[in-house]
Amino acid sequence: MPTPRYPDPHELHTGSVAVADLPVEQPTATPRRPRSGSWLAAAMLAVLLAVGVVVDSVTAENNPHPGAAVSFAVGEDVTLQNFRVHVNGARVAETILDGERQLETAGLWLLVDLSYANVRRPDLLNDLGVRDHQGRTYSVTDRHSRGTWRAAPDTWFRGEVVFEVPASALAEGEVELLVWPSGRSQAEMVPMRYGSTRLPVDPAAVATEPVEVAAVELLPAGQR
Amino acid sequence: MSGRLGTAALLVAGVLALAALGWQTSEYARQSWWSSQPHAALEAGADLQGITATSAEVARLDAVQTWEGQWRAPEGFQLWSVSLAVQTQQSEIYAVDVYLEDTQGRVFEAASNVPWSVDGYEDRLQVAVPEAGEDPLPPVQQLLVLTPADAEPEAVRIEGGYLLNPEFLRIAVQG
Amino acid sequence: MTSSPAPALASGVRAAAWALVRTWPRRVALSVLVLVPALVAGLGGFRTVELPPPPQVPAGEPFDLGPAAVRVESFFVSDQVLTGMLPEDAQGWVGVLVELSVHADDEWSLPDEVVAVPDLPGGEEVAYGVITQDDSILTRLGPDLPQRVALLYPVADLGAVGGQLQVDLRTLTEERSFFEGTMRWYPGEVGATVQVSRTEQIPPAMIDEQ
Repeated sequence: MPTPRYPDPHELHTGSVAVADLPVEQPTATPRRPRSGSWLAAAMLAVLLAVGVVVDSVTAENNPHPGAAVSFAVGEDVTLQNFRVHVNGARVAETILDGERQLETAGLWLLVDLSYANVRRPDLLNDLGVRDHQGRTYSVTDRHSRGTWRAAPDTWFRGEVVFEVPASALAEGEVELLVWPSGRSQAEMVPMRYGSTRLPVDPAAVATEPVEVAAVELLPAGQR
Repeated sequence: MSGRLGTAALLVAGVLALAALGWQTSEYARQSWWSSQPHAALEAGADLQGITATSAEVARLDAVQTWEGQWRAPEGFQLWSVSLAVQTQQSEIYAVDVYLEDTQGRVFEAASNVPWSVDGYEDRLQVAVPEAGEDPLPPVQQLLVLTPADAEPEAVRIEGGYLLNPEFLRIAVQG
Repeated sequence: MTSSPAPALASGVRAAAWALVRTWPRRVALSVLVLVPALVAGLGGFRTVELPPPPQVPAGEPFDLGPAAVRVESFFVSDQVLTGMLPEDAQGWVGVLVELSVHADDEWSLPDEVVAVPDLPGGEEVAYGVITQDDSILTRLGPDLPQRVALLYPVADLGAVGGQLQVDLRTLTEERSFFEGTMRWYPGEVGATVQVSRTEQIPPAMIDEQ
């Protein structure tokens, strides 16, 4: 006489013991693997979840695409979107003149001599920056009235742009000059090209007399 | 069979979802940026919010007379005079910008990098109906343009910036 | 036989209470949940505490705001500086002379509400910062480039300003901004106060020509 079986909870749903045994009995007759569609759905769900997690955790600091820096040398033309840029060099002064005003600083004035033209349409090169060996970043000073200027296609202008930097920024003898053709806020977040060059600066050659910032001039064809 | 259908439906749904996301994220580019760019060219004689120009003549200039004396284009550059006959029926916009487009697709702004206040030349194109007592608009307005010497003019563009973009007048150069 | 609602409710509550204390782990968890707050309350852990007033920083001593340090020196009162920017209902400016020095590694702008003069009506926010050396308006400060600045607050009645003023300094905390996802400095509580004295020495470059 068989001992009465205590009913298994699963049997309440499957209805009979025979159904529960089904996979063991008919493994070859009808292979009960999930359809390929559900695998695909599961995979897609997993991919979407992964993308969501990655996008959600992207911040300014770990952005996988921190812009596309284009390295160029001093004395060489570089094309960055609507601009062609050519850096000639730099000089350093303790004091600069803005009209009759003398501008003093706790650091030094770095005057970068550069030329640029446009490619398609006239445009102003808004954002330029200097980054030192410690990673400190400085944009064009707005204490001097010069700023940057508007160029035209294949029409080169040369002048000096002014940065205010601490003396320690020049201690290594060079700084990184950054050219952001579509603005700095875009440059390091989205994959747009921006320029970067190593600009030699002689920290020993500092002008002690007040220096006049060079005027912007239109260059004859072929000159930089 | 139903498995294939399901797969196809899944792919379609995925593409639709991505397209919807793309549409959502490109809203600024589509609505604000693209419509602020001059990309809808109107031909000579077409009406640009009450302004039109029927013809544009471009001529080479060797020099112009300024109050400081003669001014010549720098070496490697060419000075042009652009003559435009403008008709207007509006008084909202006073002046618009004129550009010279060359055969290489480069665009040069009139009255830029040339001497100021040269007799007979405007700094911007006057396009407002004169008020009572004011001088009528000249039948032909002239502007100076400086280009590199290798530029071959193809068209004159009349653009109103944010006031008129994305539309602008593009008048093919005669001759 | 009709069941009245009251006994039904009572039996429901009894059943729920029994369910809460039926097993030992539940009894332990429940007693922790009830006893711990009771214990904290009994020891006085929930009473409100008077916060100490923000510390006083002597005039001329640096105070760290977070991305930058500020040294509050003194203040002047004048109707001869930045006259072009004076609001219509103001007679002149109170100018708080400070030295600002950024020690973050990027440029920084002084938020208007960080340095306040609570005794002045309209002293909650800086109207303009002016670089004392060349009379230019301060827009941003570069790292490690200390700048002496006059922070200007409009004043309706110049005669009412005394010889001493309290200056409140708010500290900033760096937090991730919700929309951009970038780190930003947000002004917080008043972190220190400075008692400054009036000076008659207005930076000469700032005085407008008549």
